[in-house]
Amino acid sequence: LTPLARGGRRIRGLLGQRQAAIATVLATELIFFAVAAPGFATLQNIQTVLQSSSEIALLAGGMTLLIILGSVDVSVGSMLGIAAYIAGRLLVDGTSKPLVLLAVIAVGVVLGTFNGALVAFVGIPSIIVTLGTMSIFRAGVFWLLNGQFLVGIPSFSRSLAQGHLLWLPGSFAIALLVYGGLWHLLRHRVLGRRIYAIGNNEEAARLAGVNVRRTKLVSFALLGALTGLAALLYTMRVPSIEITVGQDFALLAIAAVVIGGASITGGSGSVVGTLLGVLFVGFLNNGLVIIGVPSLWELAVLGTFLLLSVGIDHTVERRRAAATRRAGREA
Amino acid sequence: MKDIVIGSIRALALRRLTFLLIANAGIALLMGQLSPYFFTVSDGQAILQYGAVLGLLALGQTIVIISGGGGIDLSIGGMLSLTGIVFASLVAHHNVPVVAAGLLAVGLGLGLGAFNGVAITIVGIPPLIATLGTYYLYSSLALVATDGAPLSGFPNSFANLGQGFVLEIPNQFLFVVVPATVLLTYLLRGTILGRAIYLVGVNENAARLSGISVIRARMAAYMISGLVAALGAMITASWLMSARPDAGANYELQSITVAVLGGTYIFGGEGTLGGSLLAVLLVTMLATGLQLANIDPTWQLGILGVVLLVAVTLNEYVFRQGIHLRLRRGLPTAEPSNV
Repeated sequence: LTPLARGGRRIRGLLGQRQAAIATVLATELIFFAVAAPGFATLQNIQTVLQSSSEIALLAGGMTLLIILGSVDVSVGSMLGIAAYIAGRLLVDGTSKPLVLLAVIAVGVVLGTFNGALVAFVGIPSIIVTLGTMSIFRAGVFWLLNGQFLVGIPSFSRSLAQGHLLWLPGSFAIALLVYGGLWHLLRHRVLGRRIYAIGNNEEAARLAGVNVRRTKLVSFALLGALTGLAALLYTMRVPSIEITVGQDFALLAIAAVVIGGASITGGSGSVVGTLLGVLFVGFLNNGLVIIGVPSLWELAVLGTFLLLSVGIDHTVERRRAAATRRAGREA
Repeated sequence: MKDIVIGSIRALALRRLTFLLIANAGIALLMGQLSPYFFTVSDGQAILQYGAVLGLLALGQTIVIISGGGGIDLSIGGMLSLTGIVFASLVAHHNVPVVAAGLLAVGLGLGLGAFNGVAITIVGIPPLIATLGTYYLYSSLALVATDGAPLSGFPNSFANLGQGFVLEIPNQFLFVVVPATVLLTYLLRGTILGRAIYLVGVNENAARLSGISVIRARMAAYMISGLVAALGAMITASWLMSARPDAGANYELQSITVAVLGGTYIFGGEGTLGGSLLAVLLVTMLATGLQLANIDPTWQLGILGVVLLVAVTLNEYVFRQGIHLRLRRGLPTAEPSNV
């Protein structure tokens, strides 16, 4: 074995096969843009991408829990809109920062719990619930903004978000901290193991004594809380809040989770994969802009990557299942 | 007294068509109170014109949801935008006769639907993610193709389809929506393919074991969705005499809402086209009524969201009742799949 192959094997052991695949894709992407896009591989550009990816990172982190659970939430963009308005309004009014943080997290938890309650207690599929609340929350943003932009958010809040920890943007450091917590939750806490169990087989989990409804409710509320935090980071980064705030965030977050290897039918996925997916999506948008692809193409490219990634996953999975069956017959 | 009220509400919830008829009458009376223009011939015509596109899309969405397996088509609006742009550029920039361009647009719609169908049935991507991906793909392609600007330059005679009347009835309703509804109802009720679409929605395994091709039934459903999207695109183009690259925006939410409100069970296997069309009428009356009352269109989105949640909750209740009835009669019950 060459040292390179040995190193590759060690990374694989560390990350698992699926994550190794997305890590390879991410590395290929970075090398491609570093060569093709002048100014891509500079510290400043990388910091910009990391900073603007931190909101998607938080949403995708929470979304990972839901997707492992076998659910999805397409309302996060509108939810972020409401929380961002409230954060902006409070900052304009000069409310103290810890209080603003508490307020946006509370708003997120309330909205997330509303989604979660409809999914867990009424038994409506999460896509339908959140498709409905996506529009309701968006109408809420419209009502709050009352046909105007929210401007005049104090600039001190921007300098706070733009601060750096060594060279890492402050907001991305926060996202990494949250990912550490989510990793611990999914690996080592009862709630996390219950989330995997429900995603794999809800009925079996219920019969094994898992409180399915409560687990779902808590997961949706947790995504809400992270959405609130993301809204605060957004408000600190962007000088004004308009009616379309966060419109594409749900797709970006879902795409990052799915490209990161979580199965949309539930039961598998990890925050490490999601983080790689977030970086892939963030650098993709940035690199495309630098090499001069019109921004209208971004969503088309992202949609294609989403389809490719899930398509390849399902084909591989099916091959593997067929091979297992064959092996079983021969034995 | 209380029992009678609860009993009759329950009976109404279980008889979806009656419920929708009464709700429609109620909304009409309310809107008549709000605006003196509501009960006029021209407003009735406006409702049929306005509702024609949603009506067509609702037919496709309903059939996709009936076919089960988590069936949903989020790309239906994207297909409308893209086929509309291609149709308009053929007619306006490449001098293709309208009829030939229309046939090509229908072919494209079937192709886009087939692409969804292949991704879902053969590759095995869950419908939610597959059509979310193609929604972004199709609607961005429409935007990219035109740089975001609307296309115009149709021959004047083309306006007949979307703006003309025969016997005071809008042409697009009489010559597109009605024939499409009749044909698709026949397809669902009177052909083997139609029965197969219901059966794969009720119980995929039972259907497969009975020798029904699940792939064929679901492919057909997604292709019908593409077909109606293309028809809707042409009606929209003729009505506005231009094709916008975002013409289909928000139609995914609207079509799913009316399908569910019309009584289509979100886990598949149950639903009627008539119910969906009555729901389209209800939603359209609500929208035009709110417009007459000068209420901002953004509110419609919020109201639509509320209607969707209420309707799907109602369906869940009704279906649980249905399971109880079946159990009582010793009939097999459909097992909802995990979505």
